[in-house]
Amino acid sequence: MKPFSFKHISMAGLVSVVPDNIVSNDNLPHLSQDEIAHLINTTGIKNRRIAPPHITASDLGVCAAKELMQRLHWHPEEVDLLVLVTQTPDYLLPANSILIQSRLQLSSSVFCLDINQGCAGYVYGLSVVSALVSSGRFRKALLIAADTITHTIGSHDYSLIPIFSDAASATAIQYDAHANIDAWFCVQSDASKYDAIYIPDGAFRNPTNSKSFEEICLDSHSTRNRLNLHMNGQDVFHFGLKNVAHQVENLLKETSVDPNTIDYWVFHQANKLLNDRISAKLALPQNKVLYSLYDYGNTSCATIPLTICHHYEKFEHVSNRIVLSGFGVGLSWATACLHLQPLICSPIIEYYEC
Amino acid sequence: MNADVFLSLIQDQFPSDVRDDIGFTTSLRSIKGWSSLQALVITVAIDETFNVLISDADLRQVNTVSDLYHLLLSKKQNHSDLS
Repeated sequence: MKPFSFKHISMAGLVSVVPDNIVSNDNLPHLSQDEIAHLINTTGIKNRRIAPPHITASDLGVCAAKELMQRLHWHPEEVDLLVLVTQTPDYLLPANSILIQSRLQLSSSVFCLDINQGCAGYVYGLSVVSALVSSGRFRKALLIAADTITHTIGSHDYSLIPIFSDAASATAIQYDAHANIDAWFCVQSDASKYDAIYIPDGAFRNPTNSKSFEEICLDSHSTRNRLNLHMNGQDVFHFGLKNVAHQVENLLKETSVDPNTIDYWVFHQANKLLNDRISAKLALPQNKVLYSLYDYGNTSCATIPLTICHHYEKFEHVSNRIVLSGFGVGLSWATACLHLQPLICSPIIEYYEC
Repeated sequence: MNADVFLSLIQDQFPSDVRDDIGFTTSLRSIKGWSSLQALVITVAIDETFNVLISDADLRQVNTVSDLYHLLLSKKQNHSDLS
């Protein structure tokens, strides 16, 4: 796919929120201490943040958006675009962006849009917001990327439990007539392996039925049912290794961006094994590839902004040229190359009721 | 591609106390410590060393280390036929 670009947009700020409940992979059942050490070393994930059942992705997202607006001194009436990326909505309908619009006390004239995307979703969302804001019709936009993906995982699915975690982020994008550097995007998707990451039952292709609750054995310790997240790790690795580095290389080549001019590379935080291999394929210098896996795991669509907040001091006071790349459910993969002005950006915040 | 290099690569992905038990006729799934995570570790090692990607369908059709080696050879052959 040919990359596309937009001018006259700037990222003003970024806030990420996680639940305060920390669960460590040190305490996983059914594994020896050696096996646990191997798992942590291979996945790069030590701790995860797990939202209790009554806290939803939109709760985390509202908290992030309120914090962000406060820090930017944005008044609710100024916001004219709200895009929400999530796959763990409060309800199948209405659109969750509309629920958040109300909770943030935004105007009824705000353009609200939900994007059903996961690990590539932050870049997908950024591309949509950038397109709308660069038109000049929308001046101040909020992009919320939020998932409580752990709520989709079977309580005995020890193939997925050690990986996933919950988080939300809010990003402020504004129209800036003086922002003349192109923001570049490349987004792709392919449903030929849609079932490599999916939830089989509970929507309208396979409505919930009595078989939906039957536990399926994965191995001697792990089970999941058809209402839980299913993931075929082997197919996801095959997809990630085949496509991500290629897309990043293609975007930089098509846009004549010299990789040596990139200050930081922020990939979706899938797991260390896959991320390290993608970085190695691109021959990236390790000190320029940012991670947040160890403390926060894989938080679905929130990993990229969460990782930026984890390294907020690199973005607070200086301009940066960065590459962002997300990949996962769909299967979808998306890469952006952006020039960032100094960001209003804080360390990761723990959720509080607001 | 040298078969012994391939065998060493597979052995190197397992703890030292298991390596010596792994030969060409060893069933992958019988290796102590084999898991879905370990399959991914091997997938990455093969990609890194031989530039060949192993899919879930590929993995399902192999049983022994030798099967995996021959799968790799055939994928390498297909790759060179295409290029």
